[in-house]
Amino acid sequence: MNLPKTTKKLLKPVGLSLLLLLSPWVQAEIAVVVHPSNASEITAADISRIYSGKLKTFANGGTIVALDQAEGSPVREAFVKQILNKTESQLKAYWSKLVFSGQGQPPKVVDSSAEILNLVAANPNMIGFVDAAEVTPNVKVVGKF
Amino acid sequence: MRKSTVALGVLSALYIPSLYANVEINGFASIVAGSSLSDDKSYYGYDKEIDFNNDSKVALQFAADLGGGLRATAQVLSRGSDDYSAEFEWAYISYDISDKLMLMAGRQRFNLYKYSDYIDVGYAYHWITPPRGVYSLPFNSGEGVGLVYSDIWGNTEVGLTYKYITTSVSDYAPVGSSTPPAPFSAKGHIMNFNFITSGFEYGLNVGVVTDFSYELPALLGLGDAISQTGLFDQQVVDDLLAIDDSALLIGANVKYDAGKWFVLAEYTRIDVDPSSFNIQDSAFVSAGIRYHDFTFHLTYGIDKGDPQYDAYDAMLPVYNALPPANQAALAPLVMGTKAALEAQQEDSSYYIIGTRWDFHPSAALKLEYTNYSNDKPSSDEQLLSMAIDLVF
Repeated sequence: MNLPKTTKKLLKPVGLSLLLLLSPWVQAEIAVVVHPSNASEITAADISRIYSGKLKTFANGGTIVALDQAEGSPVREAFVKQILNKTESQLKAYWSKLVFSGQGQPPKVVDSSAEILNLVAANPNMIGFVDAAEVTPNVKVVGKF
Repeated sequence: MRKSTVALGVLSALYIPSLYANVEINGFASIVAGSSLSDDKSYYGYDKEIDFNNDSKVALQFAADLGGGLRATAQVLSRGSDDYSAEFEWAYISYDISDKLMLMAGRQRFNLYKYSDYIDVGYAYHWITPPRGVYSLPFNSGEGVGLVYSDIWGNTEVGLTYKYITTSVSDYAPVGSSTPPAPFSAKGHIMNFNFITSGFEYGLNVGVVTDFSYELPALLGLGDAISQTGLFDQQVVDDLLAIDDSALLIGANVKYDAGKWFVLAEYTRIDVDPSSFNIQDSAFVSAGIRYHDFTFHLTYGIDKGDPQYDAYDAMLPVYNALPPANQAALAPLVMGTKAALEAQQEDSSYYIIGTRWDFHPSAALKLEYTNYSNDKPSSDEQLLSMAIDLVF
């Protein structure tokens, strides 16, 4: 930026506080949610396998329907990085192997956290993830990351 | 079961509408430009002129979910090397017998090696093309039935496949050769055993081809000429031609992926009945490091093709026992047979240095240098290529 040195100095703390304000949003805690009636134990490894299409049934025998957030949303970015331990490109490469060899389809993408919460609250087979701050009482949190 | 649970079960079953199929459309594309660095040589179809068609391709896949675990999938692929004429690479119906077992019926892949299942999807791997010595089988796809089993055993993800596949193409030409296209057919059993334990992937693939035939006119002509002399057993002709022959294909692979880096190795062997087809051994080791959106990788591999001299060895004693005048007349035939048996001979090694840049969430740019050298027959080739791979 082409500003006088003094102005730059003055702006520094402003930038810093802006960063501080933004950081809790960047490091949002992710909550993985299921229907309240779902008593299955679900570990972090299970979540990773569910979202990789490898685990298809809950411990209670129910078929899993996994819901995904839209690509590019902060909560999805954090989920892919922290829980799936992949970059977006690696995840896409992974799914392209499965999709184009008929071994599976990636989880259905749902437009908003509100919709994920509504769907999960209404369906015992579903699992989703949202920003922990958005969790509503009619779903059950099985893990926070 | 309580009534409410039943009601919920019915509701969840109804969640997926079954009146109209839910059709997913996906696709992939690769635009590859390549050029051989040697003036007068070609390498897998590339010469010194920059070529955009050889490895470029576009594919669309339609997958219809009919509900209840039943799906119909078709993948239409058009290759630049084929003037972009569209062909069904996959077309099958799959049915989930259970959460762990799937049945596939229709046109599908002869998945003999680690990358066979998605060899056309450049976006799915780090190279522009997986090592050609390994991945250059005459039969990529065929019609048949398959069972795919996937499960988690303790800490290990398990994938087991059995397929029975038949294929018949009218215009097979060995990759990278100038041999004119000729009819090829094969049928066989394929078994894959794949395991993943925390970043460690290993697999074994076995293909038992019970019956294959390659009707190259020049070879058939040579066989006829040998028969017409009336001097040799029919066995000599049988040991020259690949008609109703059998083959055993074995592949073993291992990969470790630590996220920031990976290393993988694959070994394959093709053992065939005596014919102009060689016994082939191929192996490669590949390693890469990932740095932000970049992958830098290095691959070293060897390919060996050992001629099967059975036909020639059987001709020699007969030839040697002839008077000199007759020998002179027969020499072209004997030498021609030897040359045909040695046509696929190879003792080569190569290395590939490349990079992949994931510049977009759905696209990667790749740059690759391949250095290939063959001792039998002696030749050295260098290839520089660039690709953009997309998935959508």
